Amino acid sequence: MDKTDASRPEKSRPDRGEHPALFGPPPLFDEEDTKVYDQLLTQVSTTVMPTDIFEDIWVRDVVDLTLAVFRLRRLTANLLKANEYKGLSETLAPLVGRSQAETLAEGWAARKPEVVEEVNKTLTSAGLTPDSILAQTFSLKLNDIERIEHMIALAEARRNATLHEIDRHRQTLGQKLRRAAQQLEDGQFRVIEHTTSIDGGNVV
Amino acid sequence: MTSARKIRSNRANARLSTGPKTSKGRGRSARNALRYGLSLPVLSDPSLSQEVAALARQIAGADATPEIQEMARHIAEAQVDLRRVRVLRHDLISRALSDPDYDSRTNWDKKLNTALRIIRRCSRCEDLPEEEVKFISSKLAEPDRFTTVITEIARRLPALDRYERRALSRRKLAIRAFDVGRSRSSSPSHR
Repeated sequence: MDKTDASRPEKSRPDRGEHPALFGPPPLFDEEDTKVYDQLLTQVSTTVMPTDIFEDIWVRDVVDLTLAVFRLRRLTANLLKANEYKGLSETLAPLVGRSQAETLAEGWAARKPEVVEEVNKTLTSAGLTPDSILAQTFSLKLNDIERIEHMIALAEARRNATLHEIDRHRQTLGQKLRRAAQQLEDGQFRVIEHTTSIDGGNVV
Repeated sequence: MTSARKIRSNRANARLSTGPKTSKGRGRSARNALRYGLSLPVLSDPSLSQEVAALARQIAGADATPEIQEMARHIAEAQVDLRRVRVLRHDLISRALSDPDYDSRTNWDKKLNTALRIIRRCSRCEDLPEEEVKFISSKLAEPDRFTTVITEIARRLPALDRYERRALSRRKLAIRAFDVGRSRSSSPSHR
């Protein structure tokens, strides 16, 4: 076997301190928790069990991309949630007028019970449901959501490509290990001659 | 099939578009590559080239043939390049997130136009619309701010994505070549 870091079966978890050139700091932003990142890294490493330096690189890539996808999905959900009152205001405007719609939307966002009830009544009387608010919010934030979706698709495509590379590399590694095992077996193999013992019995 | 006449006119048109003509434009385009420093090879930076050498040694391992060492160096170069792009993008986003006045370019343009309108009204001693004054001093709230930062940076800096794509592709091909090279060097016929 090669004595390279590229074939290191005893290692199963990428160590960020070990290869500074491989791994920069975790790609986290201000309020993101390092523990979540480390937990994800441990989970993926435990599942993949990286066997060499390349798999360490790919595992880290998969974790970074997964985290980016999580972040973007969370962002889409938060964006819709935070702008729901604007969607409501747009939905109510044709029913009660712009100014009244804005006042109701503000009260609704503050979860004032009497305003929530009034909003529900107004929507029901117009044959609308909470889905109408979501649809209106979605349409208001469509450009942002479209960009975020594009970024998610890009990250997922890169993650899939990385997983594909791990598969391909493992096939090569598997072939190499089979060949090495074969060589070891060939080296161990010796012809054992058939001999006869003094008392005439066969001895191997 | 493209006609000979069409080919001639395409060539003639292409000769007309050979980049900036003025000295100012040429100066600006000459600095394009230096904007992020990403187009400079990693080996032109002494500290990065040391990292590349150290990483290449780790990849190739002891007793590697010169061919394997060379392949390992290609992987290390691509990996260090990739890290450089990713760290730069992360820094740009972090810096924008820590800027309390960050706003989208579209909003800045709108604010500028509103400010000009307010100045004109002031000069004519007219009343100022409260909404417009409020808009100029408005700041993005979360999560709109975070969304604006990451989508604006992704949209305004497609070059970063291009550099990352290239580095990823180089790394992939270099690792594949390394795998093939090492399989070949460990096969019985090479022993």
